[in-house]
Amino acid sequence: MATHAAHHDDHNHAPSGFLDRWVFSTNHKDIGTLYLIFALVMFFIGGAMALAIRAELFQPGLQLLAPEVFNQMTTMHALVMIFGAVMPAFVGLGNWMIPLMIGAPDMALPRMNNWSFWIMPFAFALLLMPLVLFLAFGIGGGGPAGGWTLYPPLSLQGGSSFAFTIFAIHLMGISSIMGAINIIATVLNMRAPGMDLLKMPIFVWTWLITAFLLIAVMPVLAGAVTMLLTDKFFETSFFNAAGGGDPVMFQHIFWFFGHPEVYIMILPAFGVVSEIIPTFARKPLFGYQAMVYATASIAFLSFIVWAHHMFTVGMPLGGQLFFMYATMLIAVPTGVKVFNWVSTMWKGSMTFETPMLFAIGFVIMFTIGGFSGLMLAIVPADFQYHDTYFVVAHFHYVLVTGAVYSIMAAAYYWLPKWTGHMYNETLGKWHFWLSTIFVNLLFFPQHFLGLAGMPRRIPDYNVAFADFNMISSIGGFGFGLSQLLFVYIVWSCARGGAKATAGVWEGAKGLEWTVPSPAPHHTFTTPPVIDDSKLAHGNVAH
Amino acid sequence: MKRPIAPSEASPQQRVAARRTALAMGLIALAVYVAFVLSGVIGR
Repeated sequence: MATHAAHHDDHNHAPSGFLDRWVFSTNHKDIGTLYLIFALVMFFIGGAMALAIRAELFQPGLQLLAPEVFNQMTTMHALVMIFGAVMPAFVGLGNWMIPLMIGAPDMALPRMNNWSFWIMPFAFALLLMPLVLFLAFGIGGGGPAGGWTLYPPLSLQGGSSFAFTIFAIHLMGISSIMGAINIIATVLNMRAPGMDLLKMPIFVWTWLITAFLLIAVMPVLAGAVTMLLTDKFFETSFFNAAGGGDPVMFQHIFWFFGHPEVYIMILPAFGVVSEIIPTFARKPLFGYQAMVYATASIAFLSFIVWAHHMFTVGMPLGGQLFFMYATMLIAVPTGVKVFNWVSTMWKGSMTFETPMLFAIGFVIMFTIGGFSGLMLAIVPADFQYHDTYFVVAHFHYVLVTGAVYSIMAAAYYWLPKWTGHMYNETLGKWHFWLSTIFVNLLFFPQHFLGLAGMPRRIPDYNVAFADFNMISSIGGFGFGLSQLLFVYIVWSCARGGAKATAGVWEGAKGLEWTVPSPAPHHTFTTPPVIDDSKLAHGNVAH
Repeated sequence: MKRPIAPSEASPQQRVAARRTALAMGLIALAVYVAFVLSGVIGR
């Protein structure tokens, strides 16, 4: 590969001033770092809310939180984790790695990249402000409490924080759309000569498809919340039954956004895992093209399954059957992916460094979340499971042991490339095993609670549910504390440690591993010459 | 904001193509937003 071409033009001319380096930055690596730090901060803010919820649910009765504060916690926890932690983390990973993986000098639209990021802190300041003002100073009525789905009429009955929430969602949406536009423009126009679409790393493919999903559905959410805003403050009746509106229509529009949103949070995770497993199995990815087509199939199917979230509102039998079977159909391309990951590992020379542990943990536990999703897709079963803790268990297996685990895997995988130092492998393994034990203690009992009939979003419950709730809360606190170890590992790696080589991992292939570690401030200012045999998936005949 | 400081940058053709792609994507996003709000207004 054209390491000579790349390295002669590698420069480390990072701006020296703090403002120039971080506030006015147009460098994809620095903006990627900003996104990742922001996501980590939000992960801990959302995590603190989760711990408040689990503390309240440790035993039956009302202990710590007033019911209205509990509802605010569940609502804000979801909004912060989805829009503040998981999505920005993947945007950060994309910013850092996509130009490096396709041999581009930077993102296609660097100024817009800066703008995309710097909207986010203001959006979340707006979102969090009502809750913080209420909890810290007793000002106002607190944050939104009607659930992250913002269903009317409940959401319209809240206080003035609603305007803050809507404006914050609009800002997050603008940021996401600008980020997606940048990724599409970069991938379609900035690839190094010879980097054909079907030679791109799978992570780039999954992000490209995710970016198209974002372009298609974030405006739908923006439209829905705009109409909610006018219903609340300008006397319209889009969703207000008293004025002739239709609250169920909001649910249709919301989930037309909401289900693809789930895949926005999981497709880049598939990409991360598809990069890591071949590296530590020391084999090319099994079925590269099948992986690309499976990703595209999942993205397409995500648009035609939205009503499986709302079987219980009532719909014609034909509609129920369509959405049930369409949902089950997603298991086919997802199954292709799981099969290909397992086949990649099959007879590979596997080693189990921390990124690989998180990747394997992802494959196993995401599949558990996928199976419980299939159970929820069955209409008569969903009538029993709907709005119970079974649903909570399902989506946390998908989003925590799925999306968050892949982000952890990616952080450990690329940390040496970012910092130039190896992290502490022993502590990394401790982090993985502690997280895995506690996350299962946290979420697996919630399946049983849901099957036994415990509803979600309640601060108090029947004593029959006490034991499993106590176990779940212990798991929650264990999982939360385990993440402090992650912060320490990242911090200590950034400050020092064994020097990382350019290749970092023995089995790593691809352009990003040809630049030195840490990656210089500017890379691929001269386009590299692509050598197919040295790309991770360059020779698709593998 | 300062000018992006990548020492060697995308070719003029790449810049034009990237801007064109960005504009097309932005217009699609705007169209989806307007269409959904309009469907709410007209559909009532």
